[in-house]
Amino acid sequence: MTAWVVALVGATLHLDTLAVGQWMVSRPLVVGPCLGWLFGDAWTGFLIGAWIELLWVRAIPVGLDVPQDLCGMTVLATGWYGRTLDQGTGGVGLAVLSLTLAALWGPIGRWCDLKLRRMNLWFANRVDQRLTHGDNPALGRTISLAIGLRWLVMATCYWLALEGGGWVLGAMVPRWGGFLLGKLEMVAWLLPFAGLAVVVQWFLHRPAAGWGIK
Amino acid sequence: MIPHRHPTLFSVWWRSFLIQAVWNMKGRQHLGFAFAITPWLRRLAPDPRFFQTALRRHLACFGTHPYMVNILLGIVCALEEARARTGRSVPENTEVHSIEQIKATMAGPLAAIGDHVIWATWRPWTVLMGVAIGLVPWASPNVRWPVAVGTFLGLYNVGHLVVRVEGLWQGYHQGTAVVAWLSHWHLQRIAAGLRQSGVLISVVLILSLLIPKVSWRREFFALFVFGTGFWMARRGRWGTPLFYLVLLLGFLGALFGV
Repeated sequence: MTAWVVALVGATLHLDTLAVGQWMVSRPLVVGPCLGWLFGDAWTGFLIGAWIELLWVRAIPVGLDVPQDLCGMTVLATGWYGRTLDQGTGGVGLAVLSLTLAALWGPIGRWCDLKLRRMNLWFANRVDQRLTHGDNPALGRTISLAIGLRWLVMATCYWLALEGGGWVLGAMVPRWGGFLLGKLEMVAWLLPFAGLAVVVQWFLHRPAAGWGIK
Repeated sequence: MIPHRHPTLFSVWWRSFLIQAVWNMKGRQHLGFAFAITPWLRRLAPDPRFFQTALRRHLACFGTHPYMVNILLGIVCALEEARARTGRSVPENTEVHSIEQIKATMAGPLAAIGDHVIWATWRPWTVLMGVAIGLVPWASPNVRWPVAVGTFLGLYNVGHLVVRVEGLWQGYHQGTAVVAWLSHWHLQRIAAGLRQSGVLISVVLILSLLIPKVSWRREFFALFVFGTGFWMARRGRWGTPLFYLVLLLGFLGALFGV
């Protein structure tokens, strides 16, 4: 599976986080197994999605807060896992290693999202001007343009990250894979417990005490 | 003669899925709102000049929860229709004086309800159900993951679509009285129930993960990680810092033969 196919699928699913629908097909629990299935290992994709969902359950878009890009994190973790899988290495240890790198994407993805929202400001000003001149269909055109641009930018970002991270993992796994991956299986077993701790704490705390926005 | 309303209302509903397509810091969802209401305004004011004036009224800064916006879309559709029929912007007994004011007044409270009930409770709860179905070993993994994903998407979107469809419908038919309809749902009580059941499901899931015996040292270590995770989450250190801490703890645990 080439990186650009994963990037295009990821960017299409990413549209659901903000721009189109919000049917939750961009959630890690859906993105992980979908991409994992493309690589022939949906179960590990599901595990990656479940870990991210539980640990980042408090990342919610309240008010002007822009949460980390969990969809991108899942796309990269599953994409790197799947592409390294093609080289003959596998297991949940490799999935944890991929997530270790992919977790860095969260804030980068948020930064990309913020930049795209700033770019939308330009679209908003443009529509204002067009409507003043009586160009009413400009509104519909701008909506399509903004969605298309978001898709294109995110696809490019994912593709670049997939290629770069894939290169790092490709260099790491043959050298230290034997030592690392076995140890990381322990981490894979522990991650649901840490995630469930976040969920329990989230459900127990009183909403009036704050939304836990980070 | 104003054309039939239902197909136009459906068009407004369909376009509401793009409400955040051009989300920006200046107007937030204003372009999405204007885009969604366009078919309705076109229906009420086929003359391009009137249509443009009506459309420009909806280009002021506006932001609320993306699902709860359908309630406001319904209310605004009803008020715009009343304005087109009678020439008055709002019914006589309404205290506020314009559609724009009603939008501005209701957007905040609706956003608060949506954030609390949908983002902070309904979504984590459905996610937890999906994860529980996937992680509890009741069948082979190849059976479990599609059921888990299907359960999450199915459960979540039932609630999502009820809010979108009922919100628009009730908003249109009840106008600003929709607030009374909303209060009949006892959303606070439903959210509290979901949170309590979420804690219960989490505890059952933890037990089911511990039951397949590995070793008492490993199980104790898992409970230690759970406690550490809970403590960190209380301090607001969830997500990335917690992941890297578990990575370190797990790696050290494996290194020292836990």
